[in-house]
Amino acid sequence: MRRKPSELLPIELSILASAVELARIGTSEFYGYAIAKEIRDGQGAKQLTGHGTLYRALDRLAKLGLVESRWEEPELAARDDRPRRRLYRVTALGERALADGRVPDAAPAATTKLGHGLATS
Amino acid sequence: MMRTTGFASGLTLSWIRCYTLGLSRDTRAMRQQEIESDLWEHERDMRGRAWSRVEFALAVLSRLVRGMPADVFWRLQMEGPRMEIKIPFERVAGGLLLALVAMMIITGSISGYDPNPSGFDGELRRLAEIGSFADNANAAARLFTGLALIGAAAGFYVALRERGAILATIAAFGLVAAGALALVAAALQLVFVDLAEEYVASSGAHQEQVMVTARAVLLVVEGTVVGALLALLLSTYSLAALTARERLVPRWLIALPALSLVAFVVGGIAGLAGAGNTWVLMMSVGGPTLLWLIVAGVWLLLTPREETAPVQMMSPASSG
Repeated sequence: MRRKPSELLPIELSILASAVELARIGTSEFYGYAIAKEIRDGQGAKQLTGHGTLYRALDRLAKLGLVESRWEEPELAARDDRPRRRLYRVTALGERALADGRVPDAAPAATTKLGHGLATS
Repeated sequence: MMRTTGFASGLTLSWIRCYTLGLSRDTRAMRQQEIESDLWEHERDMRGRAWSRVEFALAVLSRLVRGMPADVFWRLQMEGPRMEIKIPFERVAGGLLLALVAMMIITGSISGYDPNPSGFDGELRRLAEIGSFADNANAAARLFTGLALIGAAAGFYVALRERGAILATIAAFGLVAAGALALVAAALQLVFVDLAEEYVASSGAHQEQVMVTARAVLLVVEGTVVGALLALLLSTYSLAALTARERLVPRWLIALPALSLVAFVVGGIAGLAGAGNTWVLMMSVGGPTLLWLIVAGVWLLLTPREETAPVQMMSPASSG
């Protein structure tokens, strides 16, 4: 069954809710693993969300403009001797979507192919 | 930078390479880097909790498997089911080298009958006892091998011509020649089988006549197979020289075909002097050649290629 364009999946709502909760305690940006852990702990689940489920949901949220993302500075990752994180932040539109439980009318369509909004450095 | 380790992480990264095949380099690199970061954070987190490597591997595999349907849907949403898959030429060449191992063995296996008149009666009776299904399957395998060799010639030429036109042409020529000779040998083999059956069914002078004809056909088959193997050797030496020169495989690997070439020359001289041992010659020439095909093929197939530089992502909202 095809879902409505304005519909948000439970995993997408969980990401937004967990991200807003993290922002409330002072962590305005999050990365994939951190949010997976936050969702698991928040729901009292045993397992972390599957990679595909998590990153597909983040991808759709980004296309809808409910979250925005950036790659962290390479120096930070190099200093900690780890791979660079892709950092996400919930937008005002995302906060509204969480409150309404649906995609706001002002959100862009999520059907466009990836490539929009990407730039190589 | 520390990298993620372990079988499960490697499997996850391989799966990403698989389902992002055909997407742009930036998109692939972004997906790869994001999940590589996730795996690294996951591993570090679990180390902090003193989890064992097995528990970590199981957790990663569970996340991998549970996310697979979403990965496939994501991939289809990106560009639809249409893909422009560009397989790196190193992988094509590696796969073809490994395929050549099988083709060389099948081509060579047609040989080995004893044409000596004293034992030839037994050879023909043994051959006639083989069922027609086995004969047909045998012929089909050889037909496929001959055609595959000609196809491999085209594959190698396309994959390697930009790296060295002359050597790629020699390699392709060798493979086409080997393929054509393998097809001829396969056809003659069928004739040989027919003659063996006729030999068993006949008697007297006619039987002797059939035996003479069968021996003649067998000698031509043997000659054709030797010709095909020589063409394959020529092709392999050219491929070895080309891949070593272009540093597609470690340069020291050239020692294997060089050893084979020396054995071939020495064995040839010994053979002319009447001191050659066919079995030793085949092993010393064919052994290093097959070993080179396997090692170089696996190397080209599995060695990671240079990764693209990390990409900077701007938010969709800010991109306009």
